[in-house]
Amino acid sequence: MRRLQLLCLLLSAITGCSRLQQEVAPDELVNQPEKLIVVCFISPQDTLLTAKVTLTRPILSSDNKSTEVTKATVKIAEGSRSVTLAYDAKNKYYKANARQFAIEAGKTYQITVTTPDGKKAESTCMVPQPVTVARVQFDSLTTNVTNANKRYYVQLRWQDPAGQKNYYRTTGLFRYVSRQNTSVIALQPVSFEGAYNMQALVTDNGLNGKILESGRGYLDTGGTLLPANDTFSKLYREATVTVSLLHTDVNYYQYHEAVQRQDATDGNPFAEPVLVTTNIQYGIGCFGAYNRSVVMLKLR
Amino acid sequence: MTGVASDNVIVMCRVTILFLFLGFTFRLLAQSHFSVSGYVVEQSSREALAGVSVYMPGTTLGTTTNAYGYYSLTIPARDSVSLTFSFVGYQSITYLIPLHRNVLHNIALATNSTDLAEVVVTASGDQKRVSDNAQMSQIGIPVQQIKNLPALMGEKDAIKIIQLMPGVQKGSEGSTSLYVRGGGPDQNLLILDDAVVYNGQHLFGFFSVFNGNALKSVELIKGGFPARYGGRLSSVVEMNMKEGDKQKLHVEGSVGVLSSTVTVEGPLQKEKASFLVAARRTYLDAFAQPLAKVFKTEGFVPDYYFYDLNAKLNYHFGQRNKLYISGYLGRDEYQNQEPETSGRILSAGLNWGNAAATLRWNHLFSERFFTNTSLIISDYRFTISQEDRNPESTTPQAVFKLSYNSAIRDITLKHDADFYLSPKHMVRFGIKSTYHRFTPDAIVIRDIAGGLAKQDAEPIDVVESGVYLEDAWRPESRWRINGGLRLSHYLYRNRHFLKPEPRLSVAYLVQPDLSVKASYAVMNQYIHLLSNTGTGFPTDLWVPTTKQINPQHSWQAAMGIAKDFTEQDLALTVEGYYKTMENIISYREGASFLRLNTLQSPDKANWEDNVTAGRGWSYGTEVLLQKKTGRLSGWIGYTLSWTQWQFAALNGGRPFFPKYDRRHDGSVVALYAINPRITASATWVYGTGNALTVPVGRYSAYAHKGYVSTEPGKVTVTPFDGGSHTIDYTRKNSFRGEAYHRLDVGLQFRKQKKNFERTWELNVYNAYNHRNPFFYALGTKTVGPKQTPLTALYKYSVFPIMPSISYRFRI
Repeated sequence: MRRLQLLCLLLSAITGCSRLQQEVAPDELVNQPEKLIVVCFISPQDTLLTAKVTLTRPILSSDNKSTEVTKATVKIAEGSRSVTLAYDAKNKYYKANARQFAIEAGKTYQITVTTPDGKKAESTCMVPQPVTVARVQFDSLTTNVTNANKRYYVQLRWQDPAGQKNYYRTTGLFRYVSRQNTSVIALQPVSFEGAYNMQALVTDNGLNGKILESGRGYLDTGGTLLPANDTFSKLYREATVTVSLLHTDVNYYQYHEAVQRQDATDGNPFAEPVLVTTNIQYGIGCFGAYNRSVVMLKLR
Repeated sequence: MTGVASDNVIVMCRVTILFLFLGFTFRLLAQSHFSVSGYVVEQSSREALAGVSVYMPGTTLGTTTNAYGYYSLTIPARDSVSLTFSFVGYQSITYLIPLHRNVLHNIALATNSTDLAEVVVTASGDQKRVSDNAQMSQIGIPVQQIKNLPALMGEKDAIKIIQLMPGVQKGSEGSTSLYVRGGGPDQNLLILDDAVVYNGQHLFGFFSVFNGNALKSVELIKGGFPARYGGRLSSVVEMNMKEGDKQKLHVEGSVGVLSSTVTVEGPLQKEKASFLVAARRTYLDAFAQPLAKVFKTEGFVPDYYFYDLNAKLNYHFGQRNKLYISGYLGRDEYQNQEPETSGRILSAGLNWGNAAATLRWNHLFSERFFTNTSLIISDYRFTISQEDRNPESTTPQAVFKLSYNSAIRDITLKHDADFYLSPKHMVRFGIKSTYHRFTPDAIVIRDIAGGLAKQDAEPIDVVESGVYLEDAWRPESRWRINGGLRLSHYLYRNRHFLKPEPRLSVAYLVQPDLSVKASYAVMNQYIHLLSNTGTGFPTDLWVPTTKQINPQHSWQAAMGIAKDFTEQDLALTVEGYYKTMENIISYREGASFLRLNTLQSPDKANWEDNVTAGRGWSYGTEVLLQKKTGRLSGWIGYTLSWTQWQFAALNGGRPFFPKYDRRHDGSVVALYAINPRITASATWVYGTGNALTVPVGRYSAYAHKGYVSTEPGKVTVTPFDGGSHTIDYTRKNSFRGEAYHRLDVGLQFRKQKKNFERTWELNVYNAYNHRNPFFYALGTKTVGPKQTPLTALYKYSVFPIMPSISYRFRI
């Protein structure tokens, strides 16, 4: 935001360009049909199959949220097997119990979405094999700005399968009871370094077949800085962290990466526009797959 | 230096020695010939004249003076020889010269006495007829012409005249970026007195740093590059500064709406030494601050100025040795302060500039062997700073402070030799080596609230070298050939490249005034520009080839015809070209020069990670019809071209048209001398709209939440997050912005006063006030007092009709 502010200041200072603005409405913008958006991620570990189906809004509308589509037919199929996902009005997504339709690594699945007004979108994806976490390191570092502060973090390591391009995401949840407030069990997502909205994405680019390492995943407790001289057990009565390594397919990775990059440009007119990658035919969005490995650590 | 790298240096030295040896061998073979050689200067100022035609009338024997005004012509032994010296705007002279031995013949050319000479236009630095030259794709811009054509706010700009030539596109409105034959703005070798200028731009790209008053010659080459040039893919813009009048002291100045300039030149020691100092400064800042006080303007007051200073000193030790020292210093300073409602003060600063110094030594080993040795030091840096202060706070520290620096420092040693081997061969060879020190992005950041401190500055040192051999060959009367080879070498830590670059230009004279030409050139570029504004902001980052970044590579083939209509004094060139570019680099989508997003990490985030490499290709046809002299002069240029890029990480790997791909581009430029005192001028330009990516829809992009909660006996599943507001775009650059067109007109009134000459000049930029698009962006549109505002697409323009007046004098 600061960057944008600066650019605007610079530009308006030279040109006073606000006086030279003219509304235009080229056909390419005005006459765009609404597009069907399908977002669905499948994994062998999930107990629920879920899909989100919405519609884009015209660019010149006042609303910037998608329109919910509630009456679509959403079907996931593999070979001759298939399952239809039903709309859950409370959670605003389509769902089916995974016991009805198991997701298996190495298999290719197809999603088909049709709407009553004749819109249709489809896509396929293949579920990656599991990659297990080799090691989770728990450590801390001291930042030195005005006062010394301590930040605790976890860091994951795993062996990248050689001979193929691999994509990963690391996630985690920090569950703790602090000494100051023993009555509350607090839950805080682990904030991975370089991550945006907790979407810590990793590729084996240039490191194929090697040991990969995640960024530091900070166990933050809602923004307060911890004094450097306190030990972990002095701060928390009990603490656990559940970290996951998601071995994802390329669709999952590219979609999340593009969405966060676009969000980060923040409407800066000088940044190159970010086109969100999609693998949905006749629509946009993502049909992606991942395989999850979980490690739970008791911290002290 | 690594073993392999030093081997390469040895190879290059051997090649140089071989060239020297070949040169002297040829010299021994040529004993039955004598040479006529010397310097050609301007009569009144004794300024060296480059590009003067020297020829034997009625024969095909001839040459032109080099950048230092030197010529040498080797002629079979005879009693005497008749030689003509001609240069547009000057009186031609023919001498009968006895030729019993090698003859030294320095001459001075006088300007045409009429005032109309001032408005003579030519589009070739080499004043020979276009059909008689092997070189194609070359355009010279006489400095006088730069002064006579209309300009934005009256600021005369060589680069903007170059933009009016076919094959050259400008960037966005008012920008001084050059896009030559589908190449990017970093692919132009801008040279000022042998020194490479990196960001040749003032005022965020609206004006170039090259002060027209200090320039002697400007030349553009966009294809068929001679082997003596290397290091960039798409063009060479070579500029030389005036040496300074050796006879008389002159003061020349101008006062315009944006800036004033003053140039002083004169002799230090008559005929031997002279100097020139040219300075320019803007005065926006001088008016803005007091006016803001008078009108009690709320909010921020920008404080901006730029200046540049050119200086040159030369000393002639005699016929054989000349020494030149030239220097350039230019800076842009921008400051602004904005009080915020919270009582805090937000201040921002941006400053950048080039400094360059060149020491050159001309030495004549013999009448036929001219050499120049140059030592060049250049420095480019820019700083962006931002500070958020709270004056009422008890702590003196800033709440937020950022300073971002980028710099390049070059030290270059260069040696070039011109060897006039025989009437049929003129051989050039040379060696050049540059030590670059890059500091692409050094950030010092302090954020008290966020508890963040960061500092990193890792310079990157690289060595870029080249050695070349070039032969201008006339095998028989109908052929003109310029062939050569350049070997370029680059060293970064233990990574190095040695790449051969063959060059060939051939002309065949079908008729005495009609020739068919063809050229081929391979180019390599080891340093790159990362730009995500496309507007020529100084924030564009120069970066070297490193472990992850490969050198850019291109080849270009061109064919064309050149026809002179001698009676009408018209010259027509039609050229077609095809060019490929490999390893061109671009920011990834969404990436920006300031990576504040990644600063949360205490580890260094690398600029290389924000870069993606791809390829491009371009082809097109260019037509240029010029009228060089007369009361009405000017040119008509037209370009039809296609440029496409393909990057694995952009547009899903599919090819796309880059922003400045322009299907049609045309210009009409005219100068008309109404009478000896009044000159009218006009330029009209047209270009297809930019290829842009525009938003077509909006939606919530739901992301996977990813983490699992394992409360005892309970697994909470929230598969999707709240959905971030996301824009659905067209395919990359599939939307065409509005076409660009603009008419500029100018009128000059000259008068010779008792002691000086003065010129009043009126300019109107964008005379019919066309709102040319600068960029498109979404904004909100208020529809009614109680209704929700709508979103609308807005086109933003920069310059409406801009009249200006300026005054020039010369004593």
